[in-house]
Formats: sequence, structure tokens, C-alpha cells
Amino acid sequence: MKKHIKKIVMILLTMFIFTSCSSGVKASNVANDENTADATNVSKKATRDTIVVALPKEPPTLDPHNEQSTVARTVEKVVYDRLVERTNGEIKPMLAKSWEILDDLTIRFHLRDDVYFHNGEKMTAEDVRYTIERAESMPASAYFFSSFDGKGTKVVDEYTIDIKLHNAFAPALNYLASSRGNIVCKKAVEEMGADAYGRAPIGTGPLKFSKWVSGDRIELVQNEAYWGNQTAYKKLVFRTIIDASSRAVELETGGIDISLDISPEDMGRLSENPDTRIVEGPGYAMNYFMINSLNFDTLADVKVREALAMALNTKQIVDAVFKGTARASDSVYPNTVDGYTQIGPMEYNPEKAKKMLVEAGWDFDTVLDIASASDEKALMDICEIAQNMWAEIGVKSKITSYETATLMDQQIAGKTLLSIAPDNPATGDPDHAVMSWYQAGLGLQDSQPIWDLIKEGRATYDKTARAAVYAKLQKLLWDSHGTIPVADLNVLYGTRSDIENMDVDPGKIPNLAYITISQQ
Amino acid sequence: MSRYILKRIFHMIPVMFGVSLIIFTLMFFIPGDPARQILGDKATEASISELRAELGLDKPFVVQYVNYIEGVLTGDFGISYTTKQPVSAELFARFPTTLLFAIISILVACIIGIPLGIISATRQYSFIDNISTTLTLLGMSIPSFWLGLMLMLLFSLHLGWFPATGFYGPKYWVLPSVTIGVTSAAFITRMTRSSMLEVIRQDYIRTARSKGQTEFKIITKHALKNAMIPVVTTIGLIFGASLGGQIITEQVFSIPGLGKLMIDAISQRNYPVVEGGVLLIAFSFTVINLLVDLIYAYIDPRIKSQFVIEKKKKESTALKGM
Amino acid sequence: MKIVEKTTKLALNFNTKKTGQGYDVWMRFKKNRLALVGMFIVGLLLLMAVLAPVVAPYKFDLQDLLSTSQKPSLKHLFGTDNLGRDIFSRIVYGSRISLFVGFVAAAIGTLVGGALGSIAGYYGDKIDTIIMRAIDIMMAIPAMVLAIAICAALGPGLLNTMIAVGISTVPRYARVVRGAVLTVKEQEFIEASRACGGNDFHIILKHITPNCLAPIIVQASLGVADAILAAASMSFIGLGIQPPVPEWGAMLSAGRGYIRDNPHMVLFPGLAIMMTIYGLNLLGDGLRDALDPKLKR
Repeated sequence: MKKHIKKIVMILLTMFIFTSCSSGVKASNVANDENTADATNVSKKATRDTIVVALPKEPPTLDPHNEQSTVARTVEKVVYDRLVERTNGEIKPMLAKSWEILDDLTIRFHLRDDVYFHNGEKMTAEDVRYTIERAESMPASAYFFSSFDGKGTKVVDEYTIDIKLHNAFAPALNYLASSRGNIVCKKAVEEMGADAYGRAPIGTGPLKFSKWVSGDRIELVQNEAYWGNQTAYKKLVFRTIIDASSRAVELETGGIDISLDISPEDMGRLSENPDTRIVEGPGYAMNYFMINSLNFDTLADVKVREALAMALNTKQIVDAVFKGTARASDSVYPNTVDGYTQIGPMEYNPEKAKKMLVEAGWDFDTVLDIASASDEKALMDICEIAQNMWAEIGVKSKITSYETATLMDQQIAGKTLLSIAPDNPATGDPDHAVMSWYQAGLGLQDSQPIWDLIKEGRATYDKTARAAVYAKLQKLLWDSHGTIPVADLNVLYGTRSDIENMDVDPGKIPNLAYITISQQ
Repeated sequence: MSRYILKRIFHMIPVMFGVSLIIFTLMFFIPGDPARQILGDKATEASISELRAELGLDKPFVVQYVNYIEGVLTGDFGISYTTKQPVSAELFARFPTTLLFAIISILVACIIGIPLGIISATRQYSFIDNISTTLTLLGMSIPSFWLGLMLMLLFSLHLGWFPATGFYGPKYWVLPSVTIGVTSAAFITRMTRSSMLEVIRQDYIRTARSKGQTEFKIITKHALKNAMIPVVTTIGLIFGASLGGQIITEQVFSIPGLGKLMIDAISQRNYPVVEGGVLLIAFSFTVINLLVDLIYAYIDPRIKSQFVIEKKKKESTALKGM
Repeated sequence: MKIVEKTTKLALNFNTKKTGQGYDVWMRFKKNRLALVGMFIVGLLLLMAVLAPVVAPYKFDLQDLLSTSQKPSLKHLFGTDNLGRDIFSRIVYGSRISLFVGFVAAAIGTLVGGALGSIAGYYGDKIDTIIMRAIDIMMAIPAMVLAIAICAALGPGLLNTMIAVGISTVPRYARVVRGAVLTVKEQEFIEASRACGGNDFHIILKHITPNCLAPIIVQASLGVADAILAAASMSFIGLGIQPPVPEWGAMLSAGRGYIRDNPHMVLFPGLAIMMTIYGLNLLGDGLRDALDPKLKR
């Protein structure tokens, strides 16, 4: 028997060795990773020139025109630069030194002449033109840049460009400041092909791409030839840590320096711990119920929709679900978005709501279908509480949770009567914030006045006039009860205590190039 | 013997075809449009149908399947919808991690499980046996995320012995493999115990006892050898299953393995990755099964002789009664 | 050997002997104290499921947003969850769901797997090859991936979860049953029955199945437990049973974010699952020992 056990052990050992050497490349990789991981841990304690950031998901690609993920944009933000930058609601110069609006359809940008891509190529107006054209044509960014006229955009000279628009488009600068406005290197994209480029991107940003270990981490290193301020650290590592509790533990043990997604449950502990802190600020993200009255008659009566909204104690929902990290919505978009005016919050009055339902002739046997996203705990909680609050005024409902993939399909195909929707208009532009109205999934039977105002808002360049248009639009949308706004979310980051100048971007895409490390 | 192995390898072909057909069919009927997933909720209908055409999703089922199989046969598993990388590259970046994790965990499980099972069996209904039964049942029913998180809190946060997440070196392997190992050990203990119990009651053990051999010798020399077959089966099954990825443990310890990749791929409707991944897992599973059967032959000469009979008897497939 | 004598007798006049055999089994079962504990636990759970509205002090979906995440107290025996619902009441109602899912999924697995396994084992040859090859195929696809894919294809919900979990366990049952049938098939009393003119269906149902019961019951008792855990894992990933239905696994995963500050939110549903599985396993082990005369003490 002993002999047999020995043989079994031998087989297992052989397999073990086989794995470690299954491919020579992989084996050496593993060994390397081990060394570097340990090395970074050690050196981090001594000099802190490496910052480790935890992402809740792995970015699929770092091609700004080929992805849909907030986490990818956080990485892209420091790899690429944009023409302009939006800080605290103001547009500031970045790659463009200055710009002028020549007419409704033309914006002229004067570019910096001292900018180089990570591959050594000089950044010129041609790269900008190529970026705009690409952003307009690549399907993942096309809808976003549909007002930009890539074909018409002209290079004036090496460092001057006229960006053309299909129609008067006031949000243009906000959109250019967003991740879709990341300036890509024409030569690199064309040589590498879009797919390879997305996994080894080349930009002009303060950090350059160095390594990607699939499923595990992305490493960036300082770009010593950067035109602007150098980062306070040499290396930035993004690790994918999916589980929220694990991220919190890693932050507490010091395994990571910044966690980009903190769940409200971990907040108290992280802010009490002297080694860690919570950085919080108002955000662009909001949660609301979408009502589809185009394909369903059930909620076609505005009085019924108003009653449903009135039956929700949004203050209580927000406190229970977000523990003080969100506000009850008081308009159709959050106060961080340009042109916000306060209208609500909606009065909470279940008795009145019930009376309104009776007056509207509501059939109390109807069971409302609420579609929810199973992988988002907060959204599920909101739906469950809403279901209960509606039950209190006698409205029956049933929750069906879908994976986000299916939910999105169902909403767009117009198959959901009532569904929870998370939205993060990361540009901070009101046009972006009402974008959901462009689609089915949301819709009223008579929405012409809404379309007119949306159009007007896009075409109005003057800031005050534009704000007036959106004030009207917000009131109109609020009174139509086409959505039931619930919560405006704060952005929450957890950092080690010695991390300073954490950028609290409302769009959840902080610029990590700004952070500094205090020498306690 | 070698003819037997060849025959088994030959049998793998229809199995792999079946696996590919089942998973392809399932993916075909799953609601949720991959093009919509790639382009996001605000993309236009036109660009979505364009992308569908580009990915070949507008073609009928049979055409899509035939195209896929043609690709697989030439070594092309397609391109991942999300990362735009070849699926084979994606899978092979993850597979060694999963395999390594599976091997370490199964070793942990065997080291705990087999001795515990033997002790319980030899002292049936004793205090030790009852404790071990309770412990194994606990092990089987502890949710792995709970155990993983508790180990993490204790050993990385409070004691600082091991790093909390990642899979970069031996120090990092400990907590996740113990998490998985404890659950698997429970199954191995149970199987060892019940199979030992059955063997101990056999006549030849009684004979050995009556010949006055020491209990230790009886157990190690006579009983264990015969009790090992179902245990090896269990180990093989657990090992094979863990090659499919330990989804929850991978998530808790953020290990870049196959499990998470597969689950994400299903929820993102990333068909090529799901199909390629299942094929890879199924392939390694069948290989493990073959290895287990070969291990039988080493343990039990009776089965070895069956290989020989096999050559003569054409249609005797009643090889494994597990 | 004893078993052969006994079952041969049984085969010849099974009608009269049936009660006698059941009595024997019960006598053996009664002697095993742990098995009785298992039966007690499972019985208690079944009782709790049936009497849920009487036992539970609150309705399972009654929210109180002003007293969320409360620690256990006299008012709330097991505390409240993050929506202020009474955890004790949810666990009591949850026993209905979890036991139902567990038993139905295991039943699907046992029936489909058992039928496939016994046909394959009994007929052998080509039929066996075809069925076992199909089982190999299913076995090669990781159960969790299969269940998730089936669930994603069918859509969420209680019934679909049971089907998904049930189907993904079919191969296990099929292999166990086939193995058992193979060993029984060759014994004399089957020959005897065939000689007495019994047809295949009769032989499989009346002679083979009863003699394969031990492994089937053991596998099924573990299977119920497994199915409960599998359904819980599905809930963990976000597929599975729809809220506000209080499935234990869903409660467990919903509470996982609170594990550090409010451990009671995961402790009690976890304990409920553990007790159920513990009980089912003890019962299964006891039944196996009792059903298998070879293991007589």
C-alpha cells in the first residue's frame, strides 16, 4: 500500500510541477509577480512611491471609445489627457491652452505644443481630429458623440483645430472633458489595431501603461516626460477586488491605499480607524424608478403616477439603504449637475395618495411588476421597501429581479412597466442627465414638449439662458411623474490616512494624479 | 493498458462535442443581447444591429454552431466580446492559477480528511467519531464566503500573518486553500469513514484480526487499500469540480481564476468565453477522470485485470460502478 | 450470504414480507441515537414550515425602517435585518422555501437520475453506453456553471431555481444508481424472478430498486442538503428566488456586507442552513445503516 500511496503522491507532485511549468512564460511570470508583489509591499513601507488602488471590477479594455465601464475610465483618466478638464463644475484648460466658439457649429482650440505621447510621438492637431472622428464612429461612443462632426472637423495648423458640430450643442465642452474626449495616439491605434491598443494604451497622461495581469491588476508608471506636474509617486497599481468586505479589510491591513468603492456598511469602521479615512462628496449618480407609459396603459394616468410617488417616503428609504451617504431626490437630477433647480422633495402622504388612487379609479387588484437588478444590493433594497410602502396604500406589486444585462435589454425593448434605474451622468451636463428620455423604457404618451425643451437646452450656449431652459424642463419632467426620483448618491472613497488631495469627482472617476502622500 | 488509455481518449471526442453543443444551445437561448452589453444602454439600434452582424449573431443557430466548431477545430476559440482578446489567451492566463489553487486545496483536504476518516471509522460511535461527524457536517454546511472572511479577519487583519487578498505566492495561498480545503475535507472524511466501515466488516479483516495482527497493521495494510477506491473517486470528483473554479472563494480572496471569469462571462453574455471556458473545464475534468481510473489500477489489481479482460471483451463498459 | 437468502425469499413472496422488512429497518434505525436526533431535527423543521404563521411573531415581509439592523432582543429574538424585518420570523417562513427547494430539486435529481441510472445499469450494452456518455457530458460541465446558465436561460424564480439545481445534480444520482444496479443485477434472486416470468419493468421496480435504496437514500439525503446550499449559492450570485421571499441563502448573502458590525444577520440564517443539513445528513446516515443489513451491529 505504501508503494501505491507513494505513486499517488508522485502523480500529484508531477501535476503540481506541470502546473508551475505548464508554460515557461507563465511560470516565470508567476515568480516575477511574487517578487514584485513582495518588493512593492516592502518598498511601499519605506518610501511610499507605489500607490495601490482597489477597483470593484476589472476594466475590459482601456480604449476610451470601446468600453462602457466606470472603472476603466478611472484608469484612463491618468493615462490620457483631454482637451479641457472639468473641475468643480468649471471648464479648465488641459491639452488646449485656450478655445473660442467661432459660431454655433464650430469651436476652435489652440493646443499646447510641448506634449508627447508615451511612445515618443508628438501630440498634434491631427491626433485630436482623429480622436473626434473615432469617437463619433466607434459604436460604443457614437451615441455620446453624435452631435460632433468628425468628418467636418479640420486641422488648421499643427496646434490649432476647428471642431465641428452637426447641430448647436452647448454641452460640447463638458462632453470633451469626459472620458470619451481622451485624446488617443493616431499612429499607435493604427499600428496596433484597436483591440491591442485597448490592452496597452498610449496616451499623453502623467502615468503610462506598464503591465496588465488579466483578472488581477494593471500597473502604471510615472511618465517622466509629462508636460504638466509630476505625480507624487512613481507607480500606480490598480487591483481588482470584487468583494466589498475584502476591499475594506485590505484597506485596513494596508494592502491597498485607496478603495474606489466603499459600501455604506463599512463606512463607520473605516472613518473611526485612525489608519484609514473616508472621503465623501456629492455625486452625479441617482437612482429612480422608470415608468413606461408608451407600451403600457397601466400607469398612463398622471394622477396614479403621482400617487405612487407620494406613497414613497424617500427620506426613510435613503436613510435605510444609504445610511446618510445619499439625499432624497428633490428634482429629476442631482444638485451637482449644471442648471439644477430644487423642486421637491415629493410630499409623503399615504392617505392622500390612496384617495388620489380611488379618485383616479385605480383597480386595486392590479399587480404592478417591478423590475430590479439582482446584482445591485442597494437597488434591490429600494425595490423591496417601495413594494412595502405601496402595499400600505393598497397597491399590489411583484418584484422580478434580472441580471443587469437582462434588465437593460428589457428596459430598452420597452418590456418593463416599472423598473429601477441607476444612472450616473458622469459629464455633469444636464443633457447627459436627461439622456434616458431618448429611449424607450421610459416614456410618456405625450412627450413633445419634453423633446422641444431638450433640444432647446442643447442649442443654448449662454449659461444663464441654458439654466432657465433646464429649470423649465426639470419642472415639466417632475410634474409629469414619468419617473419617480428616489435618491441622489454621494461618492465615497476609502483611503489610508496618509493619502491626501484625493480628488472627489462627482462622477466617480477621480483623477488619481493629484494625490499626495503626507510624511507623517 | 495503453490500448485502454487510447480508447478512453477516443471516447473523449463525443463527450467534448456534446459539451460544446449543450453549452452553445444554452447560450443561444439565454435572453440578453451581447451587442447591447458591449455598447451600453444608450447605444443606437443601428449600431447594435451592425455589431450583431459583425459578431455573426444574426445567423441561424446551426450556422453559428458550425462556424464555432470549425474555429475550435483549427484552434480558434474566438475573441472575447469585452476585452477583444483571443479567448484562448484569456483562458490560459487564468487556468494555471485555478489549477494551482485546486491542487493546493485538495492536498489540504486530503491531509485533514483521510486520517480523520480512518480514525472515525476505527472508533465508530466513539466520542472522537461523534466530534468528527459533527465537525465534518459543519464543514460541509459553512458557507465558504463566511469562513473565508472570518479567516481573513483573524489571520490578516488581527494577527497580520497572511495577506488578505491576491494569489502571488505561498503566503497568499494559505487562507484560500484552507477555506476550500475544510469543505472538501468534510466530504473526504465522510467517504473515508463509510468506506472504511464497510471494509472493516469484511471477512478477511476478521481473518487478519484472528491471526493476531496489530490493529494498526490491519488498518494500514489490509483495510485502507481496499477502502481507497471510493475515496479516490471522491477526491477526483472534488478536484475535477474545483477546476471549474471556486467562484465564491475566488471572489472573496480576489484570485484571478476561471470561476469568476465564467460567471462574469455568463452575466455579460460573453458567449465565446463561456463556451471556450466550459470546453476547457470539461476537457480537464475528463482527463482527471481518466487519471483517477488509472490510479484505481494501481490500488486495486482486480481492476487492473479488468483492463486486460477489456481487450478481449469488446463491449464491457461496466468499468466503474460509482 | 444473508442478504441473498433474505431477498430471494422476498422476491418470491414480497407482498406478505414487506411489512416485516419495514419493521426490521425501524428496529435497527431506533437503536442509532444520532439518527434519531437527525429525524427529530428534520421533523421539527417540517413542523416549523407547516406551522409558520403560528410560530412566527411577525410577518416575514413586515418592514420597520425605524428599527433596522437591531441586535437580538426579547422583542426580536434573532434581531432585525437592514430593512427592519424580524429575522426569526423570516427564518421560520424561510424553512418552507428552503425545504421545498431542497426536496423538489433532490426529487428531480433522484427521479431523472435514478431512472437513467437504473435503465443504463439494467440493460447494459448500447443503452448503457449512450446514457453514460450523456451523463459524462453533463458531468463534465461544472454543476454551478450549468445551473447558472439554465437559470439565466429560464429566467429567475422559485420553480426555475429548483429545475436548474435539480438538473445539475442528475449525473450524480445516475452514476450512483447505475453502480448499485450493476451489483444487484447479477445476484441470484433476480435470475429467480426472471425465471418466474417477471418482466423488466416489474423486476426493476420491485426487485432492483428496493435493493438499491440504500445508496439512493443516502445520496438523496445529501442531495437535499446540497440543493439547499446550491440554491443559496445561486442567491449569492443574484440568481434564484425573488424577494421578499425569505430564502435562507438569500438572507445570508444579503447580510454579508454586515458581517462585521451586525454578525447576527448572517449568523442565524447560516445556523438554520447548518442545522437542516446536519439533520438531513444524520437521518440519511441512519437510514443507510438501517437499510443495509450488512451493517447490522
